[in-house]
Amino acid sequence: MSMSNRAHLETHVQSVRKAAGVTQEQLALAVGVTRQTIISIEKGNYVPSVLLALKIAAHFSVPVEELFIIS
Amino acid sequence: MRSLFISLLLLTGAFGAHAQEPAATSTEEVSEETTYAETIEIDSGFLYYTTSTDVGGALAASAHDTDGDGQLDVWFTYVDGVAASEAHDTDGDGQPDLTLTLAADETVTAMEGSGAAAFTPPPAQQFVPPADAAPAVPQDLVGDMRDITIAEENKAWMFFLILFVVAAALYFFWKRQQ
Repeated sequence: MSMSNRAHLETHVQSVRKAAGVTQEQLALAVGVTRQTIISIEKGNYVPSVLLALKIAAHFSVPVEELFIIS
Repeated sequence: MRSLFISLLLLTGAFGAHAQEPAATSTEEVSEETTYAETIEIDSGFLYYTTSTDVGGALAASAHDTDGDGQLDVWFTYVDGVAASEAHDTDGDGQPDLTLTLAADETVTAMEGSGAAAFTPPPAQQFVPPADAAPAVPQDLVGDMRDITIAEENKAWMFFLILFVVAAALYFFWKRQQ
């Protein structure tokens, strides 16, 4: 996910995940990363790659724009 | 060094400040360009590894182990602090085999590689239209006086329908005459 120095990436992964009743561990397993990666993404500490963002969006069957918003 | 690392992360927007203390740290400097390499191990093996030049103080590249297998699997490059490309190791051999180029206009170009850190453009694909495809004809759809080519709707079925109706009408007319 490209973003400028001053841009802030707002992530909705946690809310979408909880709404779907999926645990961090289950999501991590589904998209092939560690639970720590999911935690970092949800906390906004780690900007996922485009590929990972698309995998997460596909897992929840939502557009990637619903998960990550550049503000 | 730690503050520099954190400031680099904040500069790029790729990370926020990490509360955890680094478990292992290594730094190497390369002639003209100063390359900082730092490894931070957190919790159960989530590994951060970043490299950077000090030109402008902006992060030039970073690599990460996102699946916790102990080897890097995602590599980012940055231009002016903005991610310009990302490479992935999708088969777990430690070598990038898929690269995505992130253009300024937000288009993404994907290129697959053999896993030997070498990428070749995908082979040209030849499109073979189906046998019953309609012919392409030039039309101006939006009224901008520019010709574009679109596929004309296949109306062969309509010809045969009319032929059938006419033939049926002639048959019934002939039967009534007898």
